[in-house]
Amino acid sequence: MQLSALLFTQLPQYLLNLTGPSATSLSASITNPSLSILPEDMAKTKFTLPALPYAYDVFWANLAPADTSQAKPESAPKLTEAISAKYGSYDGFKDEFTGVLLGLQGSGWGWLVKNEKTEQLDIVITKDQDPVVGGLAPIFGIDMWEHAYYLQYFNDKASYVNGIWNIINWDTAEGRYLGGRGGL
Amino acid sequence: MSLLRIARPTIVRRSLLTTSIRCKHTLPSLPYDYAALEPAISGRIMELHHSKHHQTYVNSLNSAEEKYAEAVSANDVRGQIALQPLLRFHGGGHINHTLFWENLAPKSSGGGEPPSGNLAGAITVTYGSVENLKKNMNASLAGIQGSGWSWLVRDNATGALQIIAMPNQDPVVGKYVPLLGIDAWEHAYYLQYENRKAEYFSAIWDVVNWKAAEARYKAAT
Repeated sequence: MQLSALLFTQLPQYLLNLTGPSATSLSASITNPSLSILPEDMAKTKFTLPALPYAYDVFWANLAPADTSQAKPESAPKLTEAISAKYGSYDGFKDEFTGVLLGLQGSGWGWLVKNEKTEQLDIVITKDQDPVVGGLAPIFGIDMWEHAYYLQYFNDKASYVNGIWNIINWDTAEGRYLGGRGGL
Repeated sequence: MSLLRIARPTIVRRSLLTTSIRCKHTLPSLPYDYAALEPAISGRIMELHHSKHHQTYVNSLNSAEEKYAEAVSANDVRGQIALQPLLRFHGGGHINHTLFWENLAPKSSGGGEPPSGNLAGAITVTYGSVENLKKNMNASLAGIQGSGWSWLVRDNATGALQIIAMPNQDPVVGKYVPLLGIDAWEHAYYLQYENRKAEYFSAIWDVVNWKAAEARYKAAT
């Protein structure tokens, strides 16, 4: 999946209103989506408004073009070590996370989180635009709302999930795992 | 409309000594071509929505029911409970979409023509006019957070009409009888309307099959 194609041709209008991301330094140039660029009806609904841009802040910053070093798991040595310890292997982790994402009913997000007290990793689902709460720090999130993939993948969400593994920003993820709040 | 009309029974052999009959659900055929609801809903959306999304609900429902039957046979109550969210989601998806296809029609077959008969009378009493009902229903649709449906229903306890929103694929059950449903899941409109869902909610009324809603109302009263 080419990130540039995804970002510039497939996302809904309000996502395209992000200013100036360049294909090679996306995480550095993300600006906070403001409420004024949300579709009118979303701004008027009972969504938890602080949560909506929050989830996207985290999401944009945890993506990177596939041909960058940030998109390689090698950029996250401590995190991948913890992943292997918990899930057996990187592939085992990917399989489990993929299963959770594909099993999501309705709209929502899948997150790799760290328990702030125990430092344990976990995979959690949030419904709709609910934020990650309860002493869990998001490491990276994957949007499973249909608008995140439908124009490109139609109903084939398995292919969307397969492709998104190539553009996870492991550099940002490592930062979040080690305690920074990168991208937030 | 009874879903049993579209389910074909199959004989399932559990052992040499006993057999049981279980209905396998099938995807209902559409009474119109995929492109017949254009321009309100594109042929591409109709094809994906019916042949992929609804088909998946049917397949997954059959699979969940098979596993549920095994759990019942094995007296595995925990296993049964673990399967219930799948039955609710895929069963609801099958029910909802079956009702949806029926309450849409091409303009050439009466799609968009205003309701008549007792339902029209009830709409006037409750909403004043069909236009006002549409406004209320569109407000309900716009207010859905995440995925879901809005339904015009009859409350069997009071006889009154109501508009209710249901999350995900939860079906209309209990005292409510579904009369008319509109799918607000993004897959129902995204390829054509993108994030402009208000446009979709406005356009779909051109292909609403009020005759189906009237028949459901009549059956409930």
